[in-house]
Amino acid sequence: MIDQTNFETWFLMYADNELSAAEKLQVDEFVHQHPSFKKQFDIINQIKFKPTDIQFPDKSILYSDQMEEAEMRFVPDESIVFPGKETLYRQAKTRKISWHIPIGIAASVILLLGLFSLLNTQKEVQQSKGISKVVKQSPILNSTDTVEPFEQEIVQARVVPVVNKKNDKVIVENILPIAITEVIATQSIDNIETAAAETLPQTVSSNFSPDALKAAELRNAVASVPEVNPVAINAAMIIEASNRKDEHSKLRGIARKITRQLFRQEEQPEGTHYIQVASFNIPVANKK
Amino acid sequence: MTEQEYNICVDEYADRVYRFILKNMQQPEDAQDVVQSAFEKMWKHREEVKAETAKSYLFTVAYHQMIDHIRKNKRVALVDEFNDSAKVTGAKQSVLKKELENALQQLTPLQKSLILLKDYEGYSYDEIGQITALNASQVKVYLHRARTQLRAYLGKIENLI
Repeated sequence: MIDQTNFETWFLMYADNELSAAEKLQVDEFVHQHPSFKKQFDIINQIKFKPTDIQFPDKSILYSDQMEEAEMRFVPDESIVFPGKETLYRQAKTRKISWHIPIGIAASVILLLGLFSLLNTQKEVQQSKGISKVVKQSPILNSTDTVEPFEQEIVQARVVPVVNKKNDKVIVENILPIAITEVIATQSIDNIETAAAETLPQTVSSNFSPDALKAAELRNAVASVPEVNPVAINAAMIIEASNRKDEHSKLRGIARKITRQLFRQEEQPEGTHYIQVASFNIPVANKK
Repeated sequence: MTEQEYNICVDEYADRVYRFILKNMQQPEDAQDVVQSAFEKMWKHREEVKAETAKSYLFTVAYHQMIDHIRKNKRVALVDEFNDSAKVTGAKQSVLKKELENALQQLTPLQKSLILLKDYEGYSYDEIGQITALNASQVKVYLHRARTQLRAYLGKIENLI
């Protein structure tokens, strides 16, 4: 019921056209009875907006034919296909993980290691041979020869580490000045002492005592033993260097086996040296 | 909704929606974009939209797009015409009508929308609530507050005149 406390809401609802016909009649009656509220009632009813004659500028863009056209612009053209799908498939295949690459890398590393070892060994063998040659060419001291002590060929025999097969020890000789009449470089470890003793001259005129010469001869004989396969020596040294532990590891054993297999040398009748790697014989150098 | 019904909606409601949006945004180009987007959306969903609810659908879509647009651009409608119109001499009713238009622009987009939906389209509180995502009580309160604001504004102008 409209009264002096809620008349404003009723006026507003009247303006909003939210009142029924009976309610509107009540409001009209209230305003008629209370003329002081008529001004407010008129103002509220003035605050109403009537639709203008504004029109949408171009309705043609809203009709269905235009909408269909607009829709057509966004339909994907499925007749367009990628021409080179095969290349994509091939690329996808190459991305598969292959075991050939790591195996190839490992084989290459082993091969390079072997070649490096071989080259090193060749170099050392050459050095060793050079020393022996010098020793061989040194003047023989007969009992009648008189040689000035300072004119004697002084050889600095640099002894490389050699594995003694019997005692399995590494013998490292220091650099010593040695005067040697002759050394047979092909002596085996077993008869080094005997051979050395036989090759020593009975009477030698020298500044050194016979005992000192004998001892030097023995050392030099040990140092110039060529019987042990130099490749194997070098490989063994590499392995030894990489396995400094006292205990034998499985890796060490496997490495040795691989080394023996890879660096097994064979000598053909023509004197050509080969290194056998798996089923392949790789020629190294002619032995003369 | 059939294609024919859709085209009837264009004839019947395009101007109405445009007026409603233009009164709010004051930018004809933006208002046209909003109306066009609303019709595009209705065309896209014409299978689900019924002809009877098409008008309400269009106003609802257009209203929310307009609110989004206003929020993004945060455009402040400058009432440059206020001072000029105040100088206009003429019939008192004409001045009041002009000032009423100016006063409308002082309201928030929601208040403007509520008033225009009520006065232009004659929607009920419930229908306006559906379009603006409010309930009927909120619509009533906000709408009355907006009218009271307009009345206060016009009272000042009236005193000046």
